Amino acid sequence: MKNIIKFILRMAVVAGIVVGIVFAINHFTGRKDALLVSNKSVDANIVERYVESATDVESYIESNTAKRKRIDALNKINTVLIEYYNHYLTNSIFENSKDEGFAKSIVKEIEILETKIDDTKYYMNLAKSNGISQTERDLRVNNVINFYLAQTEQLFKINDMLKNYVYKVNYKFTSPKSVYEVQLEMIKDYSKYVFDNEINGKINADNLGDTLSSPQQNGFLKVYDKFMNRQKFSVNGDKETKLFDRYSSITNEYLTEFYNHVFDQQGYIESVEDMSMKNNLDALYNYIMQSSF
Amino acid sequence: MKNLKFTIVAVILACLFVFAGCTKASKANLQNCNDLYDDMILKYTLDSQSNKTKYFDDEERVDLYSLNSFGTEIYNYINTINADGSQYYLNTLSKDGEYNVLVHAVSELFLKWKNISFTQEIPQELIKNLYENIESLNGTLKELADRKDMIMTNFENYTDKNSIPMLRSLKEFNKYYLELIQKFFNVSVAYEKIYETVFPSKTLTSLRSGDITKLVLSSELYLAKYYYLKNIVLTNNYTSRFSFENVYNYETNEFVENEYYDANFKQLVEMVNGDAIMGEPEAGNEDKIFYYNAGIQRLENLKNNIANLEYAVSQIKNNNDKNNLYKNFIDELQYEVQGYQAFILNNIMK
Repeated sequence: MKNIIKFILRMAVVAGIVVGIVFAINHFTGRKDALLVSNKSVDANIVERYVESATDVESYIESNTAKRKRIDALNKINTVLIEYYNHYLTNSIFENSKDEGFAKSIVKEIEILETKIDDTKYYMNLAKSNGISQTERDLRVNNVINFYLAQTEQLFKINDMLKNYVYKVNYKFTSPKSVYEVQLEMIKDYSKYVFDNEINGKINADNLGDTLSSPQQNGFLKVYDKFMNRQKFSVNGDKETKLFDRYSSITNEYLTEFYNHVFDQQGYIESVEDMSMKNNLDALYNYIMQSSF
Repeated sequence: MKNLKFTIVAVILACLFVFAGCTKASKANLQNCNDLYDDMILKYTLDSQSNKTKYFDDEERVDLYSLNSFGTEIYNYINTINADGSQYYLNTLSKDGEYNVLVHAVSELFLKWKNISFTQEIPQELIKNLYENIESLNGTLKELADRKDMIMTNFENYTDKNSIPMLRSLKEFNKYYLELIQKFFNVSVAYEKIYETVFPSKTLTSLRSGDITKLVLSSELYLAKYYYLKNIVLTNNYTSRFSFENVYNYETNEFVENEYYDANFKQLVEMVNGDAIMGEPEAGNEDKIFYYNAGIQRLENLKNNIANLEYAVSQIKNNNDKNNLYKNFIDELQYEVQGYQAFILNNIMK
């Protein structure tokens, strides 16, 4: 009897050790999605709610006004941000290394975004109420816009974190891995520039003046249209590959300055003296402006 | 006495342990691997009189296309009989069908790897890995040859009412054909690991002969893997017909446009069939160096994404894609792949 008990105990210990080893191997080497996107810890429906939150706000603003134009640009910026978010969220589900701390901080920021979306939606519903005066409605619409701006700012922040997370945990290099990501980065950078300089804190301002022909805003609309209508199956690989190759050697600050000048002064590129920088900007300008893409 | 028994057991165990480390693979060199591959190819060909697999032992060299002839022979028979339920194998087994084309592509890659010249020493572990993968490939070829013989036997007994044994053997054959492609990939990857030690993927200020060759061959390998994973493994569909612009509709008896046609796969096939390397660069060719350095980074990104793709495909096939995330990833990946393919063609191979 004693021997049988000893035997069973030994087997139990061996089994426990084997299970422990298997568990440890799986835990430390198995692929895992730390954001738990595939298990819906990050709510995949957040995008839907984001889009719905400030829906129709522009219909409460007179068309052909500077304010309306800025709201339209803000909607376009958000279209870009959502595509950016979806792209990097998708790529976050693959892990070559782990950073659970970083993943947790992203989840926290997404939770903050969810409350901001709820706020925007709440104030949008208030703005849609019946039986209020035009003055009251205008005030409520301005309020919605402020929450919409806050929501947008939060998504900019999350997107940067998501991208850095994916570069760290998934990619082997800390730079865009494809032409598509370069395109996304360009349009996102330009959107941020326009958001910070033309839109955030400015939509509800008095005396906006006529900004219909602002080079920055018009430039953004042109680049946005190009981005949205780009051929996804690139016919001319050469132009896109040059863009990819050149983009990685251009700094953000230089790009911002480029956008600032490109629609304003075409001769800007010619005046650049550094040959390699000139080639980079030339490729960038051609890519944006030539209709074959 | 007890001590003696323990000593004998210990000595036997030690001998086994040492012997285990002395396999053919662990002592092989690259020439052994090449010879093993050549011998393997020699063995599997057709006896034109009996249409059964014949095993050669002599020096006669056989065209690598003999591997393709497995599928072609079966194709010819199916075409003649036009048995119910067998038509869908026609597309995959035909000479220009995806399976044959992929086998040809990866076997061509092997030949090209063999032809790269270098003087550096290769770690024995990597050569052992290559040898073992060729042995594994040999095992699959044997299975494939046996299944082919089984199909031929079943053809002889075929009647319209007794088609099931033949259909079953066709399905078995296809299963090993898929495995063959995977084993060929494994061999190519083993070869690529060897060349990574000679031509490591890092930024260079000047290019040596062989750098561009290795970049192109690695690119072809991983691009082929992409099409294999996306168009064959993921669909798990023996009717995958992505290399034909038009396909025959057996219900309407006419050729119709193929909704699965993948023109980029065809482009890859042309790349593989074309001249391996379009001339090594002249020394100090700034453009070529620039594109090479950009290329190795993009190739590493592609390799990473092929590993991700493999994982995504397995998740989808196991019904673990509730939010369509893996499907979205695969949909997006095509932009990167096509862009990279164009990059290699326009900037590296010209």
